[in-house]
Amino acid sequence: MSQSILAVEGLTKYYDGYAAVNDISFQVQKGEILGFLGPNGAGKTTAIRMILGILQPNAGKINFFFDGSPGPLNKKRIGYLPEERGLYDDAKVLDSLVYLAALKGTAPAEGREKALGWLETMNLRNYANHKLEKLSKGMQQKVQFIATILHNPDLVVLDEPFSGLDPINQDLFKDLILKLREAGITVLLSAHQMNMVQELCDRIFLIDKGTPILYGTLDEIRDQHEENSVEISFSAEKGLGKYLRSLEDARNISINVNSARLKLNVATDPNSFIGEISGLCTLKSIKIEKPSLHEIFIETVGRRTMQ
Amino acid sequence: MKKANISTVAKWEFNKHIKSPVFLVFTFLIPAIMALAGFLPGFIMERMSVEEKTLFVLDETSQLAPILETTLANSRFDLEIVEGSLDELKEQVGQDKADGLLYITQQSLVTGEMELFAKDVMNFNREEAEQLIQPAFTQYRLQVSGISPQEFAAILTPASLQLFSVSGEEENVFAFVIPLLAGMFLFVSLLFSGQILMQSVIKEKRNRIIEILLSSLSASELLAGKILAFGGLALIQIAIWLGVGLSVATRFIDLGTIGLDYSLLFQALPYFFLGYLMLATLSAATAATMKDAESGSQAHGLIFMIPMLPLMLATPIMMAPNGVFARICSFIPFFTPATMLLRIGITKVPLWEIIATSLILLVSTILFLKIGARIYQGSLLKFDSAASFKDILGMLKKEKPERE
Repeated sequence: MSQSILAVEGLTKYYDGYAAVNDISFQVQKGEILGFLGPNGAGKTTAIRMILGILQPNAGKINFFFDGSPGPLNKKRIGYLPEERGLYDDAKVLDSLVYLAALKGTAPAEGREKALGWLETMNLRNYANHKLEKLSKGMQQKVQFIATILHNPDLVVLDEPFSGLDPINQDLFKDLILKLREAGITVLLSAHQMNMVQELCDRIFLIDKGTPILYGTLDEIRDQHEENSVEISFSAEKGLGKYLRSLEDARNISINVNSARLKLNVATDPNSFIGEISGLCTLKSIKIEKPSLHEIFIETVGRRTMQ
Repeated sequence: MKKANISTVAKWEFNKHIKSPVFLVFTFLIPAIMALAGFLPGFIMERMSVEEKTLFVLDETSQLAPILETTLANSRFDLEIVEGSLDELKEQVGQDKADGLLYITQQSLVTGEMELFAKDVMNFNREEAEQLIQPAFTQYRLQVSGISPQEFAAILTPASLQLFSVSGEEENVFAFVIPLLAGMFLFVSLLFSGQILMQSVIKEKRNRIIEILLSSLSASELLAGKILAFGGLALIQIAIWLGVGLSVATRFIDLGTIGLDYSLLFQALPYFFLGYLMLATLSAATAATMKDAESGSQAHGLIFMIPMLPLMLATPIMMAPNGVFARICSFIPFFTPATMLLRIGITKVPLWEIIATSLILLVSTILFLKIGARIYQGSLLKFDSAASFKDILGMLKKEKPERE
C-alpha cells in the first residue's frame, strides 16, 4: 500500500453555529491525484484553507507525512492555486514569480532561472518583463499555475484550476497536472469538470453540505452504484418504447425517434436485455456501461438535495 | 514568526514602492513645489529690491527733497532732484531717462500724499517705496516741530526683549525645533506610509493574491514585513527631506550658533518609532477590514487625524507643557507620541513621566500589534464585503494561534 502524504481526520469548521465542514476524514497518497469534489458551497474551499493553515479548524487533526513520519504543516512544501486567485497586476511577471518562490524558500537566483524555464515552456518567455495587467486572462492563468509549482512542492492543491479556461488551455492544464504526477508530485484537485476529474484522478473524495459522501477509486465508486447507463441506437421501432417503460429495473427512460437512454439495474443480465430488445427494433448499436462520474455526481448530490 | 518570510516581504514591498510614482512624487516633487512656492516670491522680491532705480524728484516745496537725499542715500533709489514742468519730466521718464518721477507739492507736506509716475508700474513695489519715503516725512515733521536729529534718533530707537528662564539660562527659541520637526515628520510619514500601506493591503485583497500569500506565510509575518518596508520608506523620505532641508537652511542660518540640542533627537526616537508601529498596525488592520480603496482612504483620514490631534492643539501644550492638559494627553496612547515630542522640546519633562509614557506606549503598541494581527488575519479572506463590527469581535475572541 502506498504511503500517505496527508491525513485528515474529523476535520470540522463552524460558522455562526453552521457546520461548513462536518467531521470529514480522508487521506492523500503520495504521488496520486485525489479528486476533492462537491457542489458549490459543499465546504471544499474551507477544508482546503484549513489544510493549508489559512483557517483554523474547530475540531480535527491534519497530519502531513512529507518525510514518512507525521509532522506539522510545512507551507514551503505545498503549492496552492486557490479558486479566488490573482497576482500583482502592476508588477513584472518575472519579479512576481521570483517573489512568490522566495516566500516558499527558493533563492532568488534559482527562482529566476526556474521561472524563465517555465515561462519558456508556457510560451510566455517574451512576457517575462511585462506587467501582468498587459497579459491576456489565459496567459495570467498560466503564470498563476507557474507560481504554484515553481518551488518544486511535494503536494499541490489545485482549487478549480480549469475555471475560466478555454478548451485549449484546459487541455494544457490537464497535461501539466498529469506531468506533475509523472514527476512524483501529489495533487489534491478540486474541480467541477467531471470529465477532467474522471480522466485525471486516481481516487475521488466527494463531500456535500460539509459531510463526506463518496470516497474511493473511480472503479470502486462506480461499482458501488447499482445502475448502468444504457444508450440504444435503432430504427424501425416495433414496441421498444412500451417494453422499456414496462421494465421494473429501468428508470430515467428517454426515447427519441432513433435512440433511447435509460438507467438499468446492475442485476439485469445485459445479454438477455439485448436479446429482448433486438426483437422490438432494428438494433444499430447499444452501449451498456457503468455510470460516468458526471452521472454519479448528479445522481448523488441531486438525491441529497431532493431529500 | 519566521524572520526570512518577514524579510522577503519587507524587501519586496520596499523595492516595489520605492520606484513607484506615488513615492517619487511625494518625496521629491511635492517638497520641490512647496519649496518653490515658499522661496520663489521672496527670491523675486529680492531680485526686484536689489535692482537700482533712478528716480526724478520734482519738489515744489524744496523742503522734502534734501531730506529724501539723506534718508535714501543707501537705498536702491538713485535720486536726481529736477526742475521743470511736470509734463516735460514725465516725457523724459517715458524716454528712459529715469525709472520714475516723484512729484511733491505744497499740499503733500500737509496730507502726506505724493504722486509717483513710473515708466513701468509693475517694476515698482508701492509698499516698499512708501516705507522708504516714510522716514523722510517723519523727519521733516519732527524738524518742523523743533526736534533735533539726535532727539529724533533717540525717539526712533526700537524696544527689544531678551527672555531668561529663572535658572538663568537664556530662552532658546530653536530648542523645540527638533522635537517639533520629529512630530511633523511623524505626521507626514504617517500620512504617506499609512496611505500606501492601506492601499497595498486593500490591493492584495482586491486582486485575490492574498490567499496565495497566506498559503506561504502567516498573516502576522505578512503584516510585519509590510510595516517594516513602509517604515523604511518613511525613514528614507525623512532622510531626504532632512538632508535637503538642512542644506537649504545652512545657506541662511549658521546652525552651530543657534544651539540645537541634538540629544533631544534620541529622546524623540522611541516615541517616533513606537508611534509609527502602533499606527501602522492600526492602518493595516483597518485596511484588511475594508472592501475597496475608497473606504480605505476615508478610514485612513480618520486614523491619522486621531494621533495628530495634539499637534493641532499644540498651543495649549506649548503654553503649559507640564500642565494638566499636556499631561493627560501624554498618557493616552494614541496621543502620547505627538504630545511627548512637543513637550520634551519645550520643557524638562520629569524622568518618571518619560519612563511611564514610554512604557504605556510600548505596552499598548504590543497590544495593538496582537489585536491588529488578529483583525488583519481574520479580515483578509473577506473578499466581497467589509468586515462588520460583529465579525471583528469574533476575530478578537479566537484563541487558537495561527499555524505557520
